Amino acid sequence: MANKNYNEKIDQYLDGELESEEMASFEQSMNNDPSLEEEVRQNLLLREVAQEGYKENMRANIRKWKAENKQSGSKFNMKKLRIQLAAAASILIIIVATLFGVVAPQFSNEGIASRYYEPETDLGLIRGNNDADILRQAFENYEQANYSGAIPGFQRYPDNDKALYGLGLSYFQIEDFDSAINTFQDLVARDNIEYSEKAEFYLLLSYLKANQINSDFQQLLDKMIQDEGYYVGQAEGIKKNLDSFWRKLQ
Amino acid sequence: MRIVKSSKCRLRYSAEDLISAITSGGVMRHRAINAVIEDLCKCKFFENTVFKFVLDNGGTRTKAEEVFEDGLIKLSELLRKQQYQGGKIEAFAIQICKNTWLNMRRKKDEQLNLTDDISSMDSADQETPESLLAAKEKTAALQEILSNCLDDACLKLMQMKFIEGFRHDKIAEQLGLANANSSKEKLTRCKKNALKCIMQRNDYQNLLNSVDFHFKKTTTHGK
Repeated sequence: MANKNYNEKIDQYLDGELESEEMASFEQSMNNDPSLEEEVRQNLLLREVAQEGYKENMRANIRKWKAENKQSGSKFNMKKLRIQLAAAASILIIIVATLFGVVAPQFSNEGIASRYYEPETDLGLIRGNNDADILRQAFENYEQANYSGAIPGFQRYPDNDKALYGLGLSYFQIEDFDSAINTFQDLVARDNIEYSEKAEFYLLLSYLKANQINSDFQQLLDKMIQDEGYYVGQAEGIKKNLDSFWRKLQ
Repeated sequence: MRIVKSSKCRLRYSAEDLISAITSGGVMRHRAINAVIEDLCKCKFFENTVFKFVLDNGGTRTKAEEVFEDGLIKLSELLRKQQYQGGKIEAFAIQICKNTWLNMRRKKDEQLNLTDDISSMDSADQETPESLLAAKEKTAALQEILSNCLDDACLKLMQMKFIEGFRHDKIAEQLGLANANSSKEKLTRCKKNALKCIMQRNDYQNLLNSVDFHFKKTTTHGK
C-alpha cells in the first residue's frame, strides 16, 4: 500500500471530498501511474467487502427482530386467552389472591423483575480468525443455555463489548446478580450505542433481583424514563409496579 | 423519544425526527435507521402488505421473505444516503419492497427470454444470465473475504468509517481507542492485512476489475 498521505488522499477521493482542482490532479496521477489506480481499486474492493458485511449484519438483525415479533405475538394471544378465561372469576380471584397473598408476591422485587425479563437467546454473529474461536465457543455455550460454561470464555475478552454483554446475561441467568450488576455497570459506562440501552435495562432487573432498591437503582429508573429510549415502556411499568397498592400490603 | 402511532405501524421516529437524525449523521443516524428497520420488522401491516403483493404477483412465500429482507436492506441504504424526503415511512418502505420484487421478476423473465435470444442483448445496462451469475459469484467471493480476511474489530471499524461515515474521533470514542490517530492507524493496519489476504486469492485480478469504478483513463501520447 502507498504511504500514509496517499492513503488519506485515496479515501478523500473516494468520499468525494477533494476540490475539483485536487481531483483533476489526482486523476492525472492515476493516468500516469497504474499502481495508483490499482490502489484505488483495492480500496473500492475493501469498501465493497465492508458493504457486504453491513448487509449480512442487517439481514441477521432483520431475522432476529422478526423472530422476536413472532414470539411476542404468540405470547399476546396466550395472554388474551388467559384474560378471557379468567374474566368470569376475576372478582373471586382477587379476593382469594388478597387473602392468601398470591397477588402481593407478584409485586415483590423478584416478581416484578421476572415479569419484565425477556431472555436474550440470540446474541448475533461472531466472525473472525482463530483468536475468536474461544469467544465463538462462549456464544455457542450461551445459546445452548450453558451459562456457567460460557462465562470463562466471555471473561477472556474484557475489552469486547459484545462479550461483556454476554457475560452480564450469563451471570443474570445463573442468578449471580452482584456480578451481573458489576458487569452491566461496566458496559453502561462504555456508552456503546449497540449495548448501552440493553445494559441499562438488564442492570435495572439485576438490581431488582438482588433486592438493591437503592439510590443507584432509582437514578437509573428515572434516567430511563426521562431518556424515553427503547425500554421506556418497561421502565414506566416497573415504576408503576413499585408504587402499586399491592406492594403496600407486603 | 415519543412513540409515533402512524396509521398502521408503531414507529419510534416520526418522519420529521427521522430526517433530523439522518441529517445529524453519526450515532444519531445509526440509531434512527436501526430503530426504523426494527419497527418495520415488527409491523404486521407492513409484512402482510409486502407478502400479499409478492404472492398476488406471481411470487412464492420464499420469494416474499427474500423481498422483505432485501427491501429493508435497500431502505437502510436509501435512508443513509438521505434519499428519504418525508411522508409515511411505511409507505416509502412498501414502495421499495414492491420495486424490489418487480426488479427480481424482471430479471428472472429476462433470464428466461435472453437464454433463447442472445442477439437481443444490445443494451449496456441489461443484465445477462452471465452477468447475473458473475454477480452471484462476486457476492460469494466477498462473503469468503469477510470470513477469512477480516476480523470483527476491523469490519466494525471499516463499516463505521466507510458506510456510516463516522469521523475518526467518533470511531475512537465508540471503539475505546485512544484518539483519532489511533483509529486512523488501526484502519490502515486493517486495510493492509485484509489486502494481503485478498491478494493471495486466484480471483484477485477479476475482483479488482469488477469494482464499480467510474474513472476514465485518458491517453497521454506525445507528452
